[in-house]
Amino acid sequence: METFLLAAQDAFTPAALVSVFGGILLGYIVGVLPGLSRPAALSVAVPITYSMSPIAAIAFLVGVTKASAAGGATSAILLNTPGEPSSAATCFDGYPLARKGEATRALKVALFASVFGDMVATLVLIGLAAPLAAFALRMGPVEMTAVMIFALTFIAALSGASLPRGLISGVLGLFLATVGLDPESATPRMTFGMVELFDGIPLTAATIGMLAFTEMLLQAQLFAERRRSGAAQAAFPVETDKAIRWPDIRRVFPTTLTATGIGIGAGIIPGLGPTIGAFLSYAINKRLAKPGDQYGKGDLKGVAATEAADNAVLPASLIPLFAIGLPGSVSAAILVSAFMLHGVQPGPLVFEQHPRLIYGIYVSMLIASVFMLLVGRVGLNLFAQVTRVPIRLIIPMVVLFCVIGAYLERDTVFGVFAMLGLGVLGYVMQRYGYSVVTFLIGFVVGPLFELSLRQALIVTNHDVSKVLDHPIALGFLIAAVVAGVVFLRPSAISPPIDD
Amino acid sequence: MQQSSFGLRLLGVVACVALAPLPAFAEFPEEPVTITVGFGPGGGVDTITRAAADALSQSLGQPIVVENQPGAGGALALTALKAKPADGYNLAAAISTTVSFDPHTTSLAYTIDDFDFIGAFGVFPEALVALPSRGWKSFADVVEEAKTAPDGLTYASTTSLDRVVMASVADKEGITIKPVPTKGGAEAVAQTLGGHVDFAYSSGTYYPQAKAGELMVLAGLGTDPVPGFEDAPTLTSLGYPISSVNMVIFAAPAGLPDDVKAKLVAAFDAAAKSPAVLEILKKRNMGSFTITGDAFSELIHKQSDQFGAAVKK
Repeated sequence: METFLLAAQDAFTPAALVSVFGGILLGYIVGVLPGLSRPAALSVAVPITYSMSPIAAIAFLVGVTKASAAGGATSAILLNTPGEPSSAATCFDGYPLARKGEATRALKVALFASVFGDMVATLVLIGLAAPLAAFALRMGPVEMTAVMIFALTFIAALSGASLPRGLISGVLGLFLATVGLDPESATPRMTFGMVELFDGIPLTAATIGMLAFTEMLLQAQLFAERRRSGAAQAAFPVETDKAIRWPDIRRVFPTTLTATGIGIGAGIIPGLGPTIGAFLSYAINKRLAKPGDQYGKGDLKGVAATEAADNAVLPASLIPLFAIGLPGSVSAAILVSAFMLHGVQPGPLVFEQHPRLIYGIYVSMLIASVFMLLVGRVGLNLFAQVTRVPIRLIIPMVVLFCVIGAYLERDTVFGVFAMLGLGVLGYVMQRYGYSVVTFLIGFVVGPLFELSLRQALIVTNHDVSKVLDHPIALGFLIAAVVAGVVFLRPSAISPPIDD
Repeated sequence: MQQSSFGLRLLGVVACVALAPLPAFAEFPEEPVTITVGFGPGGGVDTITRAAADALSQSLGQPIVVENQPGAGGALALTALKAKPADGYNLAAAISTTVSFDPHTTSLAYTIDDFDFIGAFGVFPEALVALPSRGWKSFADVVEEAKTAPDGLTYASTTSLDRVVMASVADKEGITIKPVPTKGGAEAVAQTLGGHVDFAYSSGTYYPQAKAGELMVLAGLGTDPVPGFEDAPTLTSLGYPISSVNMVIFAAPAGLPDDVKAKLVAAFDAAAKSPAVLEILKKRNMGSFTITGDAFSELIHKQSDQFGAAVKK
């Protein structure tokens, strides 16, 4: 207890508070701008921390990570351009809300859900790190394969108007995810000899190409049609209602809670990460929808489902890091190198060797959540002004950010061409009613599914009956079968959207 | 008058032509030197390169620009490097296997002969690790168990290099050791801790777990014992004809002018002794081994030949 109080004292020193706040500000801006991704921001931020005390340094970096996840929703809602790949799923309901004139309401729900998910996950990290880390280790190749199969059944749930077309785009996503080096033999597959494709089709380029660039193509088409007919040119309807009221909170809260749970799960299991976590949460919550919910057409629940999960992933991915010294995500891996710079080696002994530092980090993580709420609340009013900007100015700006973002992911022009190509593909797919959502699920889940499946086949010596020795895997497989049956019931398939 | 003016002009032209190539004779370096890191920011190669950059810029008297071009295990940066002019202003940082191993197994646009080698810092503490609860006392116990196990043993693999090394071990002993591909050290260690595989190859992530006694080092892969685990054998000391000494390497396009190369090697020599570099190496458990110039070039060519022979088998 004494150590804890000393640590709390460390966290409340002006230097530590200022660095947390600085981290939150930097992270928020990085999150809002589609070009700058979280891992890139973290690695740029690591050298800034050289001269700081260890607690201020780690608190600063944690601030950057947390706020970039929360900020990513802003551009997803306002421009259909995910600020981070993990906010891609927020576009599905956030952007329709903005088009309906509820941009501020969507931004508020995104912020509150983000902060809630983040805080709960941080408390879980503080209270339950050790037992949850032990659970994480039990997730081996067989269990992961089962989880991925379970995740893929949601392609059926999110197919939209036509199940066959949804499946076709999902399989296309899976197929494009196989481009790159074979995980087992390191043989290049479908790279056409291009070294740029050895690591696969870049993820950021794919998400912003399919979502943002496609949307800008559609908007440009609409703009041209309207100009020909002489109709009005407003990008967004005027916002009439900006407030979040008690009935809204009561309606959205259960979704936020489920989403937080899913996000924590995705954070603990190594390799899943925030993007898959947010997609999973969206899909599960959509299936749990009550009559009257309008997922996909602009429902506040859809925004809460993705943002709470996205933000719960980071604190949860620190559980394996603090408890056993293994990073659960790319961002956590960069934090490891920051720890090492400041003379702390994360591992099983970190609590014995540096208890005061770890408790201090816990306290500053909670402080960071509060700052995030403040910065987000102020920033929201500022960014909501985007809805007043005429569309003829928005289109070129968003395209510019798409190009910068696709370039910065791997510092190659190749990413830009990939983004443009996938953007056109997304346009064609939408034109003929093929779901971009199921494509992205296949694309995001694909690499991990393939790797886990091949690992599982080696570990079990290609003997499928050995699944019986893995109760967790069995549970997920049964859930997948049940989900598949439920989703494929004719009544479960959403009626066609007419607009 | 006219004549002399023409003569003067002619003299001027001649002088200009004669003076034009002068920059080539000027002292290298006249402008900033760029080092392209073949891995993402924040990782080992990046951290070590940035630590070395300060010392390098002091010796060279020019700023060092560190860029990142991650992808394909450093191969993207080296493919780009090959196309750049061999003037000493363009260097790349990668790991030994990016040039000594990858070209043997993957169709890459470069070979080891496309580069001049300037220096290398640190050795990754590569090792085979397992749960102590398996009750193995030595690597010989692992071989023994593999002989009796009906399906052989599995191990978590992170690179194609470790697959070649283990294939060569399995070949010598006549046993089956199946590699389970993973995305990297963290996953390999987690799979071992969770008991999903029998043992793991890891280039450094295992270190804190091994220090805490939750993993044991079965054998090191380098020619020298793993720092901090001197009691554990190496594959070489166990009599296997293969080793892996993986370093952070700095290369330039082949054909550097001799004086430029000498200057770069001298600068890397100085950087190798700088406290900043040595401290980072120590923190990352990479020992204090550094090598530059011809000695390094010889070492990496030798490794390349060794891997080339092992891959062909």
